[in-house]
Parts: sequence; C-alpha cells; structure tokens
Amino acid sequence: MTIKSSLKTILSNTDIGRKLLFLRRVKGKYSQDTTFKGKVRYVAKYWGKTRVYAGESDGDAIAKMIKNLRVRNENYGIFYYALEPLTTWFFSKPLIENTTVNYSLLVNGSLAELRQQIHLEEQNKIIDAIKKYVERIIKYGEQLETEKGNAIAVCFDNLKNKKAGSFFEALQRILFVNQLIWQTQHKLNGLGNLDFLLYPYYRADIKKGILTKKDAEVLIREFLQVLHQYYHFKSAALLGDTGQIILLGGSDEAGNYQANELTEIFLDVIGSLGLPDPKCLLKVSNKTPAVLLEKAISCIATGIGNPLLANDEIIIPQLKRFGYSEQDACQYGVAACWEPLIPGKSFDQNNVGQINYCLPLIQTLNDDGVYEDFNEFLQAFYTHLQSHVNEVISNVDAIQFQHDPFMSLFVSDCNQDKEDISEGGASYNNLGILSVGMGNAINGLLNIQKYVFKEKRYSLTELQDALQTNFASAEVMLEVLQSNPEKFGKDLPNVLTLVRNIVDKTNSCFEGRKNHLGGKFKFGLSSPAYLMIGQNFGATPDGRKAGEAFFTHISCSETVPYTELVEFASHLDYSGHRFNGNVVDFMVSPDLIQTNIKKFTLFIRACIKQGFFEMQMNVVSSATLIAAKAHPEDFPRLIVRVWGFSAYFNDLPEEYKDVLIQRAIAAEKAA
Amino acid sequence: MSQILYSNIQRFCLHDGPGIRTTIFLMGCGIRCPWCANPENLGTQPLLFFDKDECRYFRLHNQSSVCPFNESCGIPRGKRYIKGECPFHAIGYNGKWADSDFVFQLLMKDRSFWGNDGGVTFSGGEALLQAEALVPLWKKLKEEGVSLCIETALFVPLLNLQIAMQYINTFLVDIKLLDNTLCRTVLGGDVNLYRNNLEYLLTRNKSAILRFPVVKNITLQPENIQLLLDFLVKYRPSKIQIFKLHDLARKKYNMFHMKFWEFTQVDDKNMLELQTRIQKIGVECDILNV
Repeated sequence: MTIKSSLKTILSNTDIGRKLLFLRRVKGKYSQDTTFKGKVRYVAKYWGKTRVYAGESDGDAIAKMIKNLRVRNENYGIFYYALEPLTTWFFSKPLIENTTVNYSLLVNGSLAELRQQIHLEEQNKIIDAIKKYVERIIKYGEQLETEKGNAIAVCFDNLKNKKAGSFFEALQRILFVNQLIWQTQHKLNGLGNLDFLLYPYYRADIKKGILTKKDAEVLIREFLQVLHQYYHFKSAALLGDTGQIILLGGSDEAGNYQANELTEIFLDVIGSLGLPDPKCLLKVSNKTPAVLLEKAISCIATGIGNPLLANDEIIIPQLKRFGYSEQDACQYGVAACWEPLIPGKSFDQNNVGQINYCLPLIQTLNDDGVYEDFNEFLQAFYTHLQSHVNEVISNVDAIQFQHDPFMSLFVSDCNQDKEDISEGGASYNNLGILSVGMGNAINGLLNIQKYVFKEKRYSLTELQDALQTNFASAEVMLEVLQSNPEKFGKDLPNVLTLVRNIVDKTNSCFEGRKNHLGGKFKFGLSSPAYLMIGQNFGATPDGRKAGEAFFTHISCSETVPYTELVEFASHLDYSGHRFNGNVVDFMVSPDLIQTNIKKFTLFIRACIKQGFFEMQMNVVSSATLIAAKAHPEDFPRLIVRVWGFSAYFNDLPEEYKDVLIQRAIAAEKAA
Repeated sequence: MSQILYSNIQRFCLHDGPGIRTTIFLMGCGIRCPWCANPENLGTQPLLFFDKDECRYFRLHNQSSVCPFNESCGIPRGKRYIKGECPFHAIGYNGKWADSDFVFQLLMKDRSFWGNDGGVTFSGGEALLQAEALVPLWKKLKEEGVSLCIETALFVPLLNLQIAMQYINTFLVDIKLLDNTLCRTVLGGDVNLYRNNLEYLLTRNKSAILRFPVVKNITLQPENIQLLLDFLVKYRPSKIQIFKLHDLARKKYNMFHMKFWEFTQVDDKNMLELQTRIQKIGVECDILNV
C-alpha cells in the first residue's frame, strides 16, 4: 500500500475526510486556481454547501442521501426537478456512467412494483428513501395550493403504486428518474427512445380529449428546457458534454421502420429551441419516411449539430453478430456520443480507453529498423500496433467499477440475477474503446510508402529527425508530406486497403477476449479525444505538427466532396468488434444546406443505402466562426458540434475554436 | 475513340439541374459574356493558372531558383510555366483531352447518390460545341439509365443542338440579351442563331428551363426586359430561373491572369419585381440562389 492510498483510506473513514475527497474530485468544475491559496479558498467556499453521505453499505449511503434531499423547485414551468450538485453519497471507485437506464420501470411501472423485483437489502433501503422523498414532494405540491402543485402531488402520489396516468405524468416520471440518476453522481445520462416510451400516453390523452398536439409540443418544450438545467453541473469534459441524448425512431425485428407523431414533435421542438443540449439521435434505415428525413435535415440545418444519424442497416446486423439479442439489437441506443449499447440493459462502458494509431507508428520509426520495402515496415508497425491495442484492452479490463445498487435498480437483469451491475449483473457487460489518429496514421503510412520507399526522396532517419524537431528545419518536407494526393477519406483503392488492413489487425486483438465481467470488448473510429490526446502528442509523418489535433472521426483533412467521403466510409468494414462508434463528420455551409433541404434529404437517403455507420454535420461558416472568436458578445447563441455533442461556441476553449475554424475553412475551399 | 476537352469534374452539385448531380465542365465557348463565372473554360487551349496563395515556394520564402517541389516550375525564375504537376495545384494547366471511356468512369463515381432525379450535367464553357465528340459518352451514360442535363447558351450550330437533343433529358438554357446589336457588341454572339436554336428547342422540348442573369445596366435594361417578356409570351417555356451575379469567380480571374469585370449588384427588390412581372404573364419564375 502506498502512502497515498493509505491516506485515502484514512480519509474515507471520516466525515471530514470524505468531504475533502469529494471536493478534490470535483474541483475542476468550480475552480481553476491551482495555487495552494486558491485550493484553500475553494474548499472554504464550498465546504458549507457540500454534503457527503456514508453508511454501512453503499445502498445505505445512497438511501441516506435521498432521504435528506431538500424539496424545492427552482424552475419556472410545470415539472418538478431539483438537483443538488454538491450533495453526494460517498464512493471511492470509478462510477458507472455514460449509459441509459430503464426509464420504463417507473413510467410503465411504480415504486411498489420495483420493490417486488429487488433482492438486495440495500436496494430496499433505497426504495424506502425514494418513497419518503416522494411523500415530501407530495406534501410540497399540496402546500403550493396551485394547479401546478396539485398536478405534481397527484403525479407523485400515483408513482407509489400505479403506472403513469397521463402524458404529463409520464414526462414527470422520466424527469424524476433522471434527476435521481444525476443526483447519485452518475454522469452522461441518456434518455432512450422517448418517442416510443411516451407514445401510449400521448395517444391515450389525445383520445380522451385532454391533450392536443399543440399541448404536447408545449410540454415537450418545457421538458427539454428542464433537462437543460444544471448545465454546468451536468457537463463532463467541456460545457455541453452532458450526454443527454434522446433516441428517435428505429427499426423493429421485422425490418420495418417505426416512428410516430412524437418522433416528429421532438425533432421540431429540438430544432426550434436552439439549445445545444439535450440532443437527439435519429435512427434511420432505407424505410425511413422522406418526411421524417426532411425534418431531421431541417433540424440539422439550424446549426445545432443534431440529430446524429445512426444507420440501422449497418448497425443492427453488426450488433446481432456480436451477441446482442435480435430484439435488443433493434432497440439499440448509444452512450453519450455515438457508441452503441442497449438502453436499460447495458453495463456497457463504451468510452474507457483510447487507441492512438499514431503511437505504434512513432514507435516503429523509433526502432531505427532497416527495411527492404514498405511491406516490411508495415509488418513492424502491425507488431507495435497489436502490442499497443492489447495493452489498452488490458488496462481497460483492469478497471474496477464502484458497487452501484442504485444503478442496478434501473438496469434490467441485475435484479433477476441478484448481481450488482458492477459485478456483471446487467444483460450486457461489454467494454468499449475509442480511437484517435487513424487518419493521421494512414496519411503518415501513405507518405512513408510514397516518399521513403517509392520515390526515395527521404530516408526514415531524416523523417524521424524532422519529427523530433517538429519540422524545425524541414519546412519543405512538411509541405511535401501534406501534399500526397492519397489521403484518408478519399475513396482510393490503396487508401481503403490500408485502412481495412489496419482495422483488421486491431480487430484481431479483440477476438476471443472476454472481460472480467464475462462480456466482450469493442472499438470504434471516432473519439472525443482528438484534441486532448493530440495536444500532448508529438509531430507525426502525415505532416501534423506537435500538439495539433488529430483528425475528427471519419473526415478528410482536404476538401473532398461529401459523396466521396461517404463512399469511403461505406467501404470500411464495421463487423466483428468494430462498431463502437464510427462517425462521418461533415462541415457544411449554412447557405448550402438551408436552401437545399430537399436535395440534402435525397443525399442522406442515398447515403443510408450506401452504408455509412453514423453521420453528423456541423453547419457553420468559417466567416461566422472567425467573427465569433473575435467578438463573442455578438454571437451569444452560436452553436457548434464539438465531438459527439454541441456547445455554445463562446464556451469552448480557444484551441477547440481554432480547430473548428480551420476545418470550416478547409471545407469551404472550392473542391 | 473520341476525345473531349474538359477542365473539371465536380461531384455533389446542387445547382446544376434536378437532384444531386455530377457536373463536367467542357472547354471552349463561342461568346464572351463580361460576367462569365468560368473564364478558365472559354478558350480551346489548356490555360495556365497560378494561385499564389497555394504556392509553397513563396510561402516558405525560398530564395533558390529551383522550386524544391517541382524542378521544372518556372515561378522561381519569374516565368509562368511548369512541366509535370505541382503537388499543391498552385500552378498548372487547366484543361485536358481525355477519352470518353475514361471520363465515363470518373462521372459514374457518384451513381449511388443520384437517385431518381440526379445525374450528370454538362457545362463549361459551351458543352454543345463538342456535341459530336460527346456522342459516345452520352450514349454510354444513357445505356446506364443516367439522366443527362446540359447548361448551354445556344450560340452553336443547329446541328450540334439536334445531336444533343437525342440524348439530353433536361436543357438549362441561358437567355441574356435579345437585341441584335447588344448581343453582338456585349456578348459577341449572333442573336438570330440563338433565337433559331431556342425556337427549335422549345417547340420540341417543353421541359427546357431558361436561366436569366440579372445584370444592372445590361440585361436589366427596360428594353431588354421587354424583349424578354415578349419572348416568354411567344414561346411559353416551362420555367425561367433568374439569378444575381456573384463575385466568387474573382479569385479565378486572378489565377488565370484575367481581368475581373466589376459590376454593380442589383437589389433584391429588382429581383422580386422582375419575378412578379414574369409570373404575371403566366410563366413560372424562380429566383435562383447560387
């Protein structure tokens, strides 16, 4: 045991210690001052507001916390939703996050029914605590003596023993579960297919004559605005990275496309609200009606960066082959950004490791090996690659997750199997890895193939020297490396073969491996970390300078026509373990898409058939971004898509703004 | 095997006809509109361009008399000349001769994205000048069921038009100046040739769409507008699209060492007024946003 871990253990056993540990963990959100004085000031400022609960067991701690939650409603609007960011239960291991629980348990069910399903005593305590909290909310609602208060009182009263009695109640219950998930400090919480979950309630109320479509729009609008509350608390890596993703549409087991009025209403409302969060994802297939596709494009064209489009034609078959059941595969959702999982049934932690494709490339160069031809070099690269991937997989498997009786309550099968979600209780227990630098590595290898082995213009040593000095006195080489007409993202045979081979080699590291919970591993070609990892990585042979961002997901550094990029993406192989998110990322000029919605709809329809995996569009002009960087006060509501989420441009760190500006300029150059 | 002279193939074009299209720009044109947005396609010889912004020799402030990226490039020695290719496309020759088969392969790349409405558009320059040479390509595309569109100013021999009409589905025809003298002096074209061609076309192909550039002091002059309206009343085309000029081509003029023709932009008010006048005489009129 190290001194650090001994100290941690001691602190974990005292109230003061637990408070300090918690404040230390969340400091980044509240204070950027890293001086000792700054830290002391931070602790002093937030000490009084922080409440950390511990107990005999984790369930006990959670129960205590919920029992002591203050009842208050800070929001305008008709829903009850109250979060206390600085109130928590004490936990010491990484918490399961970035997934979606089973909301229907408390929408189509009640607390009483939930209690019947559980087997762990500590979960009983949690339900007791929730019930007590609910009673206090009911009292609070009654005391308000207003229509709103009354509605809340009735709704929460029903929650005890009945399923939701109306569309409003269903929405309120979703918010309640959502509130508790966030309150128990779980991060990046998705919402699932709300159009499917809410539809029976919507239809029933319409039939009864107590709800109109307009009423529903108003309710959903409020619902989304409520979810958008506590934006700062909910944001993980950057402001906007909340993971509040609403799934819309989807295919059933017969292959038919399912959508309803609510699917359209959500798209309309999200488009008109103009908020970066919550966001949505539209599942699409060859059978998606044109009207719906057009609505999605119109929403995207507003510039809010969503819906993300996920292609059922490609994703569902891969999920089935991987081992998800047929029914579950059709009901897939995604983690915070784009990594497929089964909402309500997955432990699947989909973003727990990063492969950096440039790392083995640099390692190969540093070997100072002598190679007869490019193929020999490539084999050496593959060796390093597989070693790197295996290491990432092992590291990921070593993560021990926090025992989580609360989450286990809301993820199916944990109750049946009497196993906590952190011990493999969920239906699916897979671990997902993302990757950065694929595009850069490919371009680097293509450069080595051409300029070192074919044209013999540079030696490997010269290349290495240039990289180590960040191209200091190798400006000509830098330009040459960037000028190779063969690039990742271009639909050229040599490029595609290389990409496929590298992904194959990666995939083979995953085959047959099981993780410690009995599930498998998966990986994908998109990642949030294209800048975070790039910032700390040296120069690479594609002509990328040290500290620069890697390419964003599946995109091309040069201007390629959208059709070419989609062709490229659809020629990639997403089978095996390769489906943990593969997003084609477009920069689109607002003028172009806003005046051509119908043609873009046709285009997307063709893309679905071609076979992209996932797609997102950043509808921005470089001129606007440049102006907004210089004068943020003139663009308070400008929204951009960052990696799998949208944010206000003004909230982004300067480096992210610069990456977006560069990409927008490159995209606008005449093809 | 016939050869065609073209300069560029552009994928994912949304303004060159119905649906999503791939557009091929042919070289050579018989007239010279002052506001031409594709000046590099006017001549029938490959034309040299130089884009200083892309030139790495200049960017790196290189002092030597040889460009490190292409030794044969004359720019370091002050000469606009190159043999072979500049890897940055900073300098080169616009326009190449190619076999129909080769062009066919390139054009068909986006086949999956055209759907029912999209296809290939022939533009330029004046594509119809190479009508005979284009026949094998048109035949092949038609055999594949590809919808063909052509953008033309119709200042070509009637025979070329007649050949094209056997293959082309949609004609997008420019209509500019209808007065004999103005057409000759401003555009360098014979308006009677144009009128005869257009009459021939419109009496046999009702789906042809006219395109009218709204140019202040020139095409927007009242006399020309009146001639335009009379023409529309007489021939009743299915649709006319009117559009403002843009100056996106300014950089191209620079690159090709040509002088950009400065123009005064028309107001949106003028556009709407013209649209209303045309609609009043019963012809469908869209304002095209390029």
